[in-house]
Amino acid sequence: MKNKKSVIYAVVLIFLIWYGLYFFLESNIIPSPITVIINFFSIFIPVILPHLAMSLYRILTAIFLAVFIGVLLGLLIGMNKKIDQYISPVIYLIYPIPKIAFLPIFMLLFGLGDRSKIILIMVIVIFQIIVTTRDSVKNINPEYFHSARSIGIKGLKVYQHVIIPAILPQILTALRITVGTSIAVLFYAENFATQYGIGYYIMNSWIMVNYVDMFSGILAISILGLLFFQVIDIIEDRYCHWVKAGNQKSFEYK
Amino acid sequence: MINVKNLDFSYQNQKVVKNINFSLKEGKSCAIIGPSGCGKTTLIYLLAGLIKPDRGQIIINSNLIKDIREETGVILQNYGLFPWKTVYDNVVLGLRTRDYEKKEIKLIVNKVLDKLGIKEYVNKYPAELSGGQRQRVAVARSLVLKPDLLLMDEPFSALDALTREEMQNLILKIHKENMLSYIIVTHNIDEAVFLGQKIAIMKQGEIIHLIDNPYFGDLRLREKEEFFQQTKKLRMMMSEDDLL
Repeated sequence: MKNKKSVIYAVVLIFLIWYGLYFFLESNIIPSPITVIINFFSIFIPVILPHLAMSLYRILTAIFLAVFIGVLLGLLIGMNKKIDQYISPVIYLIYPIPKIAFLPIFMLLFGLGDRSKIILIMVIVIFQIIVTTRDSVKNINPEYFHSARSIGIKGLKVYQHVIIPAILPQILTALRITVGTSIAVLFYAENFATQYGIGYYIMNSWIMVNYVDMFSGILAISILGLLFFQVIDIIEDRYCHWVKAGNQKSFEYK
Repeated sequence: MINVKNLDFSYQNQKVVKNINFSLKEGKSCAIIGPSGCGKTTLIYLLAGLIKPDRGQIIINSNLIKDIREETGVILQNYGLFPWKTVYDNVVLGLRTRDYEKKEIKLIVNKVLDKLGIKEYVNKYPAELSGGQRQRVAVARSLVLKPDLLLMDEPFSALDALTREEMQNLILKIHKENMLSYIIVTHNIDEAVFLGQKIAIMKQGEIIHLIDNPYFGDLRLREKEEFFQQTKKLRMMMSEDDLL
């Protein structure tokens, strides 16, 4: 309920600012939000949806691969001092490089199609996931491992009952941070060698000087981001309820 | 039941447990007391099979301890409860890993939760409970596994004085009802006298005194003169050894 209210508040605030800009600037570059919303709904299914679906496919595949590979690598580095010693310096060297500059190389290596775009997003997101997982694993209180062993939890069950639940809140936070970045990268990557994707649609509308369509595309990309954040919130509510429970209790004591 | 011989353990080239020898008969209890850093927690971890000694051996019920033992319950300093699991899931976890049937698990867990008065908290997370309630959950988690030996590492150190006494009474009651052997590590003299049938004083990794406590087992001991005499005796012994 609280979440719904805050979304409505954000939508109203943004539309007010937008309307203010439209009203005071009196320029074609910023169309009226009402015109954009009407246009958005009228072209959503025939025009925007195919672009949005393509973008969703690219970003979901990239995020899934980044989380899967990133968590595995992060666990491996976090649980093994020797591997950490050899891999972490390499990560520190590659992490700050603006990977977006590698798009031409990825295109040459993996083709002009979806693969190069997905790999670019994945490569950008994965570092945050690796570093977060590694640090979260290292910060798990050793007493939890002793506690698990003392009641007979061994092998893969340690991951199931101790490690994964302990690091999940931090991974979701990392995911929240990277969702914004990945959408921005997606927008950039969809400007090359494709005719489908919300990034392409926005830039194409801009070239055609159709600002109403362009803003309808921006609205769609914003809804896409909101959708991701909502899904992450739902996962957090379902699997990390204990974090909230703890926070509420400590708040009560204050 | 427990026979510890010539036990040594080093951590980062420093001997933290030195030549420990002691034994404890079945159904008896022992309190280990000593200042912080004297090696008492390490000793509990060694007895639990969580770490391996550099030298010496621990024999429990004629078996040499090389790993954890199913019949040994362990309660760690910060309770060892998983904050991401509800009270029920924390208590039930050990049974699930031991392949008990669902019906049997429910029966055992409900009985123990009832006994410890924490049944109403089953759906809460540890962070939502008070220190005393959390401690009861930790005790429940060990008891459902039907241990014949309970090892406790300063289990009540974070509790207020009244809850601490309440928990001490609970442990004594459980011990009397089930003839459960236990070893408790503490830095509290009153606790050692109330809960230790034997009291071991540790200093720099060694047991320097091992005394019998003839007054052990009385739930009203704290109100009696003998309790004060015994605590005074223990205090003086520790003072003579520069532990106080």
